[in-house]
Amino acid sequence: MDRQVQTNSRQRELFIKKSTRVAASYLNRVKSLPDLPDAAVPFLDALENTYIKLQDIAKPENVKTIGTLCVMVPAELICAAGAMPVRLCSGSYTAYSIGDDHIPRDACPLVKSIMGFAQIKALPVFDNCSLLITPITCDCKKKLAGVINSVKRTAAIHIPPLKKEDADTEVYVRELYRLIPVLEKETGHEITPGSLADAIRMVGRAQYEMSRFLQYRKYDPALLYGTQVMAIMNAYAYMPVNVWTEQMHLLNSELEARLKRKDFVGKQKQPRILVTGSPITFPNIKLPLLIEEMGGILAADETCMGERGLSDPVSVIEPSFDGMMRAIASRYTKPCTCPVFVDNRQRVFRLKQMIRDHKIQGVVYHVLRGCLVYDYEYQIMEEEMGKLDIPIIRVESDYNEEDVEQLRIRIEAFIELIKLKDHAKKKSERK
Amino acid sequence: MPNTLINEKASVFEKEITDALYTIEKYLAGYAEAAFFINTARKHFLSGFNCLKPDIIVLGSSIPAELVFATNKTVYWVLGGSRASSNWADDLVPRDTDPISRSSLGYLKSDFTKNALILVPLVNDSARKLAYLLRSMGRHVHTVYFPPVKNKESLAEWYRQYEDCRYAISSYFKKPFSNRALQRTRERIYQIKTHIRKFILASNGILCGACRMFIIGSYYYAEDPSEWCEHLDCLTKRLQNKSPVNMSKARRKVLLLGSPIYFPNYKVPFLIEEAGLEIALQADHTSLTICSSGCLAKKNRRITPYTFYINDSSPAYVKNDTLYEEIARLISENEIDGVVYHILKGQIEYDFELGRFEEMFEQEDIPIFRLETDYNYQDVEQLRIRLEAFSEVLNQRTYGKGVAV
Repeated sequence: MDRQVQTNSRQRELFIKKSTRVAASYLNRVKSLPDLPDAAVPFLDALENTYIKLQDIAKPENVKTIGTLCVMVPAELICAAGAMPVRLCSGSYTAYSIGDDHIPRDACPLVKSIMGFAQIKALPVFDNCSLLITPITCDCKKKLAGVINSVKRTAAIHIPPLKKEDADTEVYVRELYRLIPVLEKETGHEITPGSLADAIRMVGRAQYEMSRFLQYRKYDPALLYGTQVMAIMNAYAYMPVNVWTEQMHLLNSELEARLKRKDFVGKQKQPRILVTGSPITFPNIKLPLLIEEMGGILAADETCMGERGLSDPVSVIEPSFDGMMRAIASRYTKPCTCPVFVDNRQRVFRLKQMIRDHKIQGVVYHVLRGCLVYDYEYQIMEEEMGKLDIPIIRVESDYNEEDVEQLRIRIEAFIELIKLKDHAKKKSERK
Repeated sequence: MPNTLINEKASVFEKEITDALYTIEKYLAGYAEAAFFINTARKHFLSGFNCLKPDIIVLGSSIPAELVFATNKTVYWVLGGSRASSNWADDLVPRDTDPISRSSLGYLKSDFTKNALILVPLVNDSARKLAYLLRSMGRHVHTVYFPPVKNKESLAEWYRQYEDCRYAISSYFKKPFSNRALQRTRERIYQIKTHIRKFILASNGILCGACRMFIIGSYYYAEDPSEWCEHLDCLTKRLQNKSPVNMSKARRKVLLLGSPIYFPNYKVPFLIEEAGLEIALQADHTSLTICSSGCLAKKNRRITPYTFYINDSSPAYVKNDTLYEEIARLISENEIDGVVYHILKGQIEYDFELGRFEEMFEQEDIPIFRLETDYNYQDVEQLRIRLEAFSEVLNQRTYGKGVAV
């Protein structure tokens, strides 16, 4: 028995050593990108506190944290219950290797990483959560909800795979109503119309600041690096909503000043790239880093840990409790471009819109190994991008560093291709 | 597509079916009553896709059969199972897609599906995306989903799905079907299931597992389920008059669990038999859908639209309690020496469920063997060696327990 305890504690020590080292190395690479805005530092600090210093979130003592495993879990409901939402989708390579022993080999790395943290119990943000809310979206998350329940108390919510009909949204509304007593019991706070309205306003302010921030992201040349943007958006998962919003407000002011000074970080001819596909979660930010280290600029992303997570506000038409609940349900399903929905043509429209708004020249389609739903949609995207004459590359990756050099070569070649294409286009325009 | 290529593709498919049928025919040589089932399969697969004019196509076995049979229209079930048809879909699906979805899409992209209503049960990620692909190809698709946690609310939601499906079928054919017709069909299907269970009991220890699987599976190829049932009865009577070959004493009995096995890909059951094991029970989702009466038999409830959902053991649920309970019942009622847990590459849900079953069988002291494969034949020799080793383990355990072999 003692031997087992010793082995476990040694494994935990090794885990901590390795995972903090990997997280620190990626965070340093983000920090080393030139011209990091001063106001962006607290976001990186939040990631450092979570993954390197292994601290819990800075929050009032009597506030509970509730973990969520997808953007389709409404933060508003959790806030209205007086708790703090923490998004626990992780990109930890070390947790992934622990999770690998508990989850089938072909499961996606994100799910393995979540399971790894649940098993090793070394990440306070994860361990201190009093409840996990798992939305049943893809096969892996569905089955994870059944498995993780043995190590962490879990509430599963069903996301209907269709969203066209009102009856489908109604299913989700019912699921949200079912979640209310669970949250109330957990936190000891009643969700009232007033608290819900306050929560909607609080998250709405974050969304407003996010929308301002996204406007600054559209500038060509870029005002800040896409990798920095990804880190800032990832930090939303580990910061109290109001703190993140205030900091975002400061960052937006700093970017506004930068814009006035024409203080750009990007160069005029830098290929502008959009990343779409499987989520990019800290510390697995090798793809944005590679794009920018190879001379491209990550001008936009269509991922759930990025722009998709905070892009649409809840629009309350009828200010009753039920009206607010329905508005929340609509916001979390209707505009969502996650491929777990049967009909996802919306994603094509969204991508086209982003390509136009952000002056995108190339698309990197990120597929995490085992993330079948995104892989299915690649062919449609390839066809659509072909019609727009936008180059697209499918990049399949895992939670390890073994494929970095191979990815580097492919990304480098892709960026070269965009440059040549751009050069040829300008030449023909001059003629 | 050039004609030569079409012919080449068709001949590969025909060869696959003919080869599998030949082996089955060899096993069933002494049973004239089995000819009907072989001919049914031959007609279903080999009459040429151009000759098929189905009104309704059902993907998989997760749609309540009464909804399609009550229409009196021509039904075509697409279960997958063919390596050749899975190759036809190679350019449409990602590399890691499971062979069943691949094979089903291979069938469905053929022209014979153009004018039919395709019913797609959304049991997994591939089914969702297949529905989307089929719609983009201009096919008429109706989807049915399964609330993933079975509770009171989900029953209401299932009822909505059921009624939506019924409405979709009625409006497609512009012919509504009454509650009475539906109830009659439900009861007829229940009767058929009773006959299937009788057949399973009678064939135990007489017919090999692959043959039993083939005969039960041919339910999905039959044009008239009642006629199919009559022939099954004839075969059952013949089997009831025959004494078991005592094959069971020489061979270790295994329960075949996990991903469903569909004709013509009988690689795994054939290998199990060749390794000296006997498939005493088969408990994949499709076999349970055809055979099991679940809670209905236990509590003598009336057959309702909810019956299917309550008894459904597909991996569409967060925790597949129905399957777990069914397996617990099967192992308490039958004596088995080991379990072969079959996983088709890409069917991650079954792999997730394995852990729970491992615990269950460990408590019962029954060895469980995970066998992962796809529709290719490259791994046959490797699988054979592994199965032979498993068979050896089971034999040794029996010696250890002091039972004469």
